[in-house]
Amino acid sequence: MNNKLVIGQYLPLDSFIHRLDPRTKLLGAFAFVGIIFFADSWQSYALLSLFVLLGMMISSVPIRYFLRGIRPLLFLILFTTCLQLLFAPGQTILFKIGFIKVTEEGLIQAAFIFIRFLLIIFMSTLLTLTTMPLAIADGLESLMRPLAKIKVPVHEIALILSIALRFVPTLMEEADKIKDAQMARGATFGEGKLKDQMKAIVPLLIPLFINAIDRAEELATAMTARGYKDGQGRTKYREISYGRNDLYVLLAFIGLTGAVLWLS
Amino acid sequence: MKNQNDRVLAEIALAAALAYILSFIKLDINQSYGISLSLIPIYFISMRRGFREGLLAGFVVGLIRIVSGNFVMLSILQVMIEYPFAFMCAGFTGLWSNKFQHQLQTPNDNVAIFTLGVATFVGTAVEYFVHFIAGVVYWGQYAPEGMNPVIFSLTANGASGLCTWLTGFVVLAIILKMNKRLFLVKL
Repeated sequence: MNNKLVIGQYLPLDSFIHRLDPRTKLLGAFAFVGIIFFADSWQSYALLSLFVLLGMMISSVPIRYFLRGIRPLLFLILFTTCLQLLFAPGQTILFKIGFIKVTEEGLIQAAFIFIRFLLIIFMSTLLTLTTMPLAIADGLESLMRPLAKIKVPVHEIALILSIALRFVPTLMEEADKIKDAQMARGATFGEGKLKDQMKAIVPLLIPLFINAIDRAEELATAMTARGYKDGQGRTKYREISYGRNDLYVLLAFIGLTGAVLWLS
Repeated sequence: MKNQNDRVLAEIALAAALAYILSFIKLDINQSYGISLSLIPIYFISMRRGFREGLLAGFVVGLIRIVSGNFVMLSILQVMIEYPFAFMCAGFTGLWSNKFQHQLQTPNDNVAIFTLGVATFVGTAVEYFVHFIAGVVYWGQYAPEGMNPVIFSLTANGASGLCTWLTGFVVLAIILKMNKRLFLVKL
């Protein structure tokens, strides 16, 4: 298992974007993905690209980290772009080979969709590269808080999420150890017939489940011993708060939304 | 016991963490396609603790993926549906939890295994139905006009849903045969 991939992509640097409140970055990324669907002209796509490029430059994260985000989606992007290119309805035929015809409208549509994909991926990568997983978790909790009104157990979810994040590296190490131990006894993983693969996974899962349940019990005892009670009036170790920079980013997003709507 | 509630919360958290880790282990069917094991801990916690607990575990798995950056964002709607919500739906397995816990007390394992099969099938079906909807939304936004997003999404999600369920069910059934107490809640 690739540890880096599992634990998160955060790159500890110090920049304007790194220092923003996680809520600002979460809302910004979501807002951007919403805005981009209104863009339908060259000017609006150029503006959006400029905005993302500016963000990437300010973050001082090397470009290769952003490009890495595209790789798992490359096939989907190319497939969707090709579909648009070949089948989007259009009048002006550029060239035609057999039943395949490429129209001018199709070409433009495909280019737009391709850019849209890149920008969305860069934006979400920007969020996860510049924000610690725990900070994103705090941000999500804070943003979900209004849902408590409709009986969503936001506090419980936040607690479960932070415990789970805490134990991801621990359990992963354990899974690796058990896997090595089973392989030393001659087991193989991810090879052979499907039925054999299923059988091979059982000796990995049983110890993992047993350990997880034992750990949960110890953890609950530790929580009780330290006086944890339903999370009422619980304070936080890390407080998040909006600052002046968050206001600037908010204004930038409002400006961007206005400009994109005006250009489209 | 007084800390029963904390204990359930801790179990949900660890199940969610396990589910997240197992999403990186895949069984190969062929070069291009693999079955994710991620749902197994969610099935497990749902059958052990119940419906609400299963929903919580699934929801948190979705959040972990977003928080750690292992998610695919194509549109806002798609990200909301596909991550917290779809995984959460696997918790529907837990609707059979009570019945299952009673059946585990009887000497005949096959009855409990049958319930496990039905429950996990329903949980998976609900989850993949949501993935199917997300697929329709995605292709609705990206496929050229005149193409049917429903058929696209149905074939892709139907096949992988069925494989995921079958693997999860078989593996859990073997575990149940070998170590029944793992599923039982000690009080």
